[in-house]
Amino acid sequence: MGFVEFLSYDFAQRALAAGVLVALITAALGLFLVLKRMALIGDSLSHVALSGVALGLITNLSPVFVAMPVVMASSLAVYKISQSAKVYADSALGIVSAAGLSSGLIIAALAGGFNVDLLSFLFGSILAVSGAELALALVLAVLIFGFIYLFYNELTALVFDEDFAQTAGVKVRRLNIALVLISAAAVVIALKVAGIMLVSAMIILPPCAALQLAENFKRALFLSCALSVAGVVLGVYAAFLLNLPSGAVIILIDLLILALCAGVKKYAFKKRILTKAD
Amino acid sequence: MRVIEVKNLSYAYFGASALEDVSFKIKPGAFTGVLGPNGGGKTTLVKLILGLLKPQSGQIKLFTDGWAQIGYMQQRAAAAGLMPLSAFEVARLGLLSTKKTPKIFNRQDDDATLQAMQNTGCAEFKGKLFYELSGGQQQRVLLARALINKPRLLILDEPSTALDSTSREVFFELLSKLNKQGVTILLITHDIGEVGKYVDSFLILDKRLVFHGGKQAFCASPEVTKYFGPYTQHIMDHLHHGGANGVC
Repeated sequence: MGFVEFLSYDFAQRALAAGVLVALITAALGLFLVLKRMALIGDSLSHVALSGVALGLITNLSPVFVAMPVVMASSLAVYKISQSAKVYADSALGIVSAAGLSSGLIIAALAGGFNVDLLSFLFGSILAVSGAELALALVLAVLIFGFIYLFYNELTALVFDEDFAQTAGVKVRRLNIALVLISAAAVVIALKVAGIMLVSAMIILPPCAALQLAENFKRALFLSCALSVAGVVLGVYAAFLLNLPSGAVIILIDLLILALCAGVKKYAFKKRILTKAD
Repeated sequence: MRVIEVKNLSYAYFGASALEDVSFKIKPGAFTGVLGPNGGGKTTLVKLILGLLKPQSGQIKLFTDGWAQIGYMQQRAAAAGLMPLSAFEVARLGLLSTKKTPKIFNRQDDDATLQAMQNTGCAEFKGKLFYELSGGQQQRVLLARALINKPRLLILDEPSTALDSTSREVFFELLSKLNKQGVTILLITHDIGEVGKYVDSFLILDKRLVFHGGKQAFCASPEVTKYFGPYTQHIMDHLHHGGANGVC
């Protein structure tokens, strides 16, 4: 089936629309998180999302809408624990991750084990995105890009040097809290696209690829979004054609893009050295 | 008249004391070298003055009109990492304190940034990525960032660690020039030799305030002799021969 024909299906249009929105959200946010060395917050919060999804399934409520407050509350816990000077940020992520994963597994066991619905959240099921989930992704995308636009320079200062940002009058605490809450929302909305197992890769891979090539921060932001969208569009189509889990295919394509960008950077660097030597 | 007034300031990290009952005043236009051993509380003092830490007891009064009048430059950009910001973009961040959300920079901000970079001798590499610059170049950019608002108070935490001896000389001459223009400077260092020529007063911290006074009082103080022990003569020699203009 050709790509144009694929696009004529409602489910494909919905899947691609949701995928593109999620790609934009995770890539833009991911750039700040990667540079702030908080990239693994996605991994930790996605584990927490398991308990939210399981809770949603056991109560017959929408798993995404139940997971949202659970993961947001956990993101605040990550922030609170990491602010305690006796616990490093990565340990805080590990603590919350362990709590989320263990409670999620217990809830899933109480619900009678892993059923098809839970597995679709574990590995992603973008072709099953509902209209409500698409609307939620759209609202979140508008909110997150509005936030980045309004606080772009403050976020830049925060990521570059937090102590300096505070002395420059940036409300560091509020901004950090906003960042973890938005990360939580991004993780939940990305669950259907990448799945609990791989959602953090959508936050990490496109920004890392963009950082290989970008010569300034704005270009890195644009490139991260563009590469992420490319990965999702190609991934969704390939997953459909090959009947494979969408999340895994998207992430494999993101990995290939990262390898390609790293290769281009290495080649450009060698060329620069040789040009200088000449 | 004072720019900073610290009264009975104490701070401890998890019960381990970092500062104990420290009190002093800094007059406008002073160029004060803050000396002391590692763990003596120098950086803690700076963090408290800047509001990065909250005093556990005592108080700090700053007689400036907000952050825009305080320039701060730390040892190195703490989290610069691989962030693709140009030297120009890093220096321009110094203007954030003058802006209200959304803090968007305009043409005038760009002109002010370029001026600050020219003043600190780093305009020539304004377009280069900050993380690709040498340590000395990065320090000049960070100094431009600290000076961009034309601060009344400049706080520098060991700013010369990445500089070679020639760059240090240029750097301290620049600070001296700013000080003569009326900028109050608080310079944290552990190397008395490098600042002896430029500062007009010393503040020695070893959790408690060991000494605070001018150069002449410093040279004559038995507290200083007691504090530096066998190194006293070396320090006095350095101040005498190394450019303290014969004060000691």
